[in-house]
Amino acid sequence: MNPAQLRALRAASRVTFTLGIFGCAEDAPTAPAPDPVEAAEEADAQVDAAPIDEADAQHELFVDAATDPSLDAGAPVPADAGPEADGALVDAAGGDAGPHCDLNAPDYPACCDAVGWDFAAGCMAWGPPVPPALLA
Amino acid sequence: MQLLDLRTEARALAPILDATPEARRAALATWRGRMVNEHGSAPVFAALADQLADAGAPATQVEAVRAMAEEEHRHGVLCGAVVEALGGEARAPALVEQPLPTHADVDRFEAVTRNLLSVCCLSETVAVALIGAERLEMPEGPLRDILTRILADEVGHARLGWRWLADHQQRLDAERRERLGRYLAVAFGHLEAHELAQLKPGGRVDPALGICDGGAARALFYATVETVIVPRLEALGLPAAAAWDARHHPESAVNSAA
Repeated sequence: MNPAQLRALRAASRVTFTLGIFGCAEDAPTAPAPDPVEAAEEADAQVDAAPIDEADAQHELFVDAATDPSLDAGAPVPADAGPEADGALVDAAGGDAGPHCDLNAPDYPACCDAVGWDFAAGCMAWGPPVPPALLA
Repeated sequence: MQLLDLRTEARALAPILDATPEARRAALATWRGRMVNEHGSAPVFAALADQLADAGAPATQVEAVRAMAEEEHRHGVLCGAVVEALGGEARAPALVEQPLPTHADVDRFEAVTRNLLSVCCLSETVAVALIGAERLEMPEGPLRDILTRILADEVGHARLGWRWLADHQQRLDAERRERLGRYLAVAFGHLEAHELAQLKPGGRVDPALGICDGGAARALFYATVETVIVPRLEALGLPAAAAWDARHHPESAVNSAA
């Protein structure tokens, strides 16, 4: 991996450490070993710190959840009502009769043709996608 | 057919970018794909907020997660703004919205923990690494500013899951940890398939326009899982190493532990 990737890996490692009610488990062997870009990382610490610090501030909100006794009702989860409507989504076919743009749908290519979709993208994953269900 | 159309919002934010026609074409495809993926994550967080509310989470926490849905929508618009800046249109086939798994075989706490594992501890932690590397390889400018803004939010999204696990250690008894391990095998397989399907080696590479090396991104993905996510989950008492090993045949992990 190149220096930028090593630094990004270290940043991802830092994200996994949070101050919960049991404190930081800083002794956990999750951080990659020291790398040759340590000096460069320190020099760029101000830039790196910006997103991390913003997130820290934002997630102070979650500290309250740690001791909330009401969380586990022990009851089965009710059926999901489905995703909320999104004003940015338009029904180009005037209904559900048109091709579905689900990657796994048989008419996905037709949907892509309709909007000139380009399959040449090589590094577009972000997300996150919908989590999977546990296998039956 | 549903189309995602963010043109109006995106055009208002479009930065000024300089690129050759060939680079624009490659960058357009990548950023349009990201626009779709990021926007498609908004309902994931909205549903996660609902699931947290159903599980009795504090209102402040539920609202914070609902705000994350707004952030994902905004990321979609920002990616669409790059599409517009590159000369394209911020519209594309929309992802078909799927309901968040309810995991009705377990209680609400464990159900939402499964989804937080998948969304935050896995997907968003990988996103932090991938976006972070891309940002570091990108020269200063409006595109890097956009990545910085997105990265800041993704860090928060990842930390939601890690903090949840840390804060609820006492509630994770041995049986729950075992069941979560079985779920992790499925979630790891799902994550790997998602990332490999979209990180394709051999394409054009242009860090200045956010077109990463798909092969290098895959390597970073595996490094993030194997040196960050799995060890940290293990440190938090979840059998993540076995789950990662079982990701290609999670049914065996499910059956053997059932």
